[in-house]
Amino acid sequence: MRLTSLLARNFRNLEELHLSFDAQRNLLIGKNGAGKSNVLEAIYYLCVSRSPRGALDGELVRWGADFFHLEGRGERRRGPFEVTATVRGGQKEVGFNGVRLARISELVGEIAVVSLSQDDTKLTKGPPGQRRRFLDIAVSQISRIYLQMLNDYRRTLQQRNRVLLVARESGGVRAESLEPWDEQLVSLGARIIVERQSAMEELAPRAIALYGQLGGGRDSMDLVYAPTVGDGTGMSGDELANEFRDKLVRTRRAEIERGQTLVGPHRDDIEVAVGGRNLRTYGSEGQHRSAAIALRLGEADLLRRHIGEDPVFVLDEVFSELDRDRAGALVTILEEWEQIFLATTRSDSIEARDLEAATFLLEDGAFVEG
Amino acid sequence: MMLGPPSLTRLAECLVRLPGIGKKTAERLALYVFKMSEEEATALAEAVVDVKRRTRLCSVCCNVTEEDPCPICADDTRDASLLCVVEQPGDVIALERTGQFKGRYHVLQGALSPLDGVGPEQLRVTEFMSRLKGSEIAEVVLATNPNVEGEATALYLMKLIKPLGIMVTRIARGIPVGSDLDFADEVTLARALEGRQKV
Ligand SMILES: Nc1ncnc2c1ncn2[C@@H]1O[C@H](COP(=O)(O)OP(=O)(O)OP(=O)(O)O)[C@@H](O)[C@H]1O
Ligand SMILES: [Mg+2]
Ligand SMILES: [Zn+2]
Repeated sequence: MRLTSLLARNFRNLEELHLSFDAQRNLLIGKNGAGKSNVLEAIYYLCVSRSPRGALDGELVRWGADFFHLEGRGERRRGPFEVTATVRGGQKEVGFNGVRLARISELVGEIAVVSLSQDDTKLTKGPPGQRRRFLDIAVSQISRIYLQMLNDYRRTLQQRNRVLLVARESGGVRAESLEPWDEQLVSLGARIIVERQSAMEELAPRAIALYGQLGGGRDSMDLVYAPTVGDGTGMSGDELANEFRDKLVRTRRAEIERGQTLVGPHRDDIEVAVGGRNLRTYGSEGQHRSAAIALRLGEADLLRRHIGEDPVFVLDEVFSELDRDRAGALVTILEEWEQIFLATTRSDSIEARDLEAATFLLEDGAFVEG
Repeated sequence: MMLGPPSLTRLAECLVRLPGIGKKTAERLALYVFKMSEEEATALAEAVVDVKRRTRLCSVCCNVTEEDPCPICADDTRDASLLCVVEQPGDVIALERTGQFKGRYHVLQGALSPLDGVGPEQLRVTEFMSRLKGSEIAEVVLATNPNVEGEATALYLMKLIKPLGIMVTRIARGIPVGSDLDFADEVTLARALEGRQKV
């Protein structure tokens, strides 16, 4: 799928910006603070109704303004689409093809998007929550039911934790009080793990191969889904549910002592290793960068296969710290993508030189020339 | 609350405690009452007090009613072998509107939610269980909301009913996920009722 135009009004430093895209590769060039990342953020926001940097809606409103409004038009295999997002006074309104969406989650999966930025080294440097979020966003974009399951799971977890907390204070719990929450935790949790398993089964080999391609085979990455229930490979929902139920029984005392749920998909991780060693503990800067790129490319590839067309791909300053060989390899990989948006500060950067792209010069949140 | 005559302020402060009414709306409503004729204002005040004085929970089904037992419980053309459990009085209204259900109801007055301090003791569960014992009820339809809390409540009740040998069905998920029963349109609700499943 491709985006053919973008309108941003009062979105961060973009007071009124209108851009049309007719090329496959689109390069935003501008000085630090010009608004390049903000444009990419606007594109991402239109697709999934949230910021790739995890910013709150209120932070996206231009200082001094009381709303922002975004509009995007584009093409999918199914035909043209139009998407709008407005945030005013803490209220969000999202429209798709002229219909106002009752729930924001209805947007998810309509236009798929993948974002790659320097921030993504958090994926391999940060705590497990970062990697779960990565996986959850990828799977949510190919399955709306998954998103619903995640929300229900989270709610169940909060309710159950409250029961455990009360149990800790009052020194015990009746089995009937936990049972209804256990049942749902187990059935939702097992289904979530099944989805994560199969997503990782597809994503991992691709990401591993892409890592190899980036590094010219100099080192290799390993990627393993490490759930707290099951072994992460091809277990059925029933097997997982049984193991989950057993584990809950065995950890019950510890759970009451701590006042929280200790097993389940909310504790899962993805283990990333390079050259057989844990990347988080031993990785170099360049290895973290390459791994982040490989993970994002793997995500994009997963979406491409499930949706049957390419997601929109936004890349923020990802070439700057790659050595020449890796940068060259990334250019080659990106060439086969239906549509990409990139940001860079320099017109003599590798991506500006080697990718044939339509360029957009930005200054103070405004478009200067193309 | 706003500056103004104490009586206006007092009304606005009462209104703001109602669900879905913010400070601004409360002030607007209070000013609106000021502009009403005396008859209109008296009618409103009496209607409010009447709800409190005249209505209570039905001693059988725990629905809100003026007569005890309520018209549905008193109606002996209804199928006494079929009992539908819902969370709120509004759910009874929604189900009645479909015209599909011929049995009677039990209103729990809520759903399990530890986060809100709601356990089984806060719900009309004791009343429900004593209704089942030695009755002619052959099937219980659990029509709690299709969300996490409604599901937990259904699971909890199921455990209690099972030993009694009464058939339990759960309303099929014809209802949009995550939404409340109250908001489901009549067609989906009717379909959900037909498609209830044995659990
Ligand atoms: N809510 C907001 N309202 C107005 N301006 C904002 C808001 N949020 C951020 N900005 C400003 O937007 C400017 C541009 O930010 P952006 O991150 O897009 O720059 P950039 O072109 O990507 O720069 P760099 O090359 O440094 O990454 C910053 O100077 C920032 O102060
Ligand atoms: Mg930037
Ligand atoms: Zn009654």
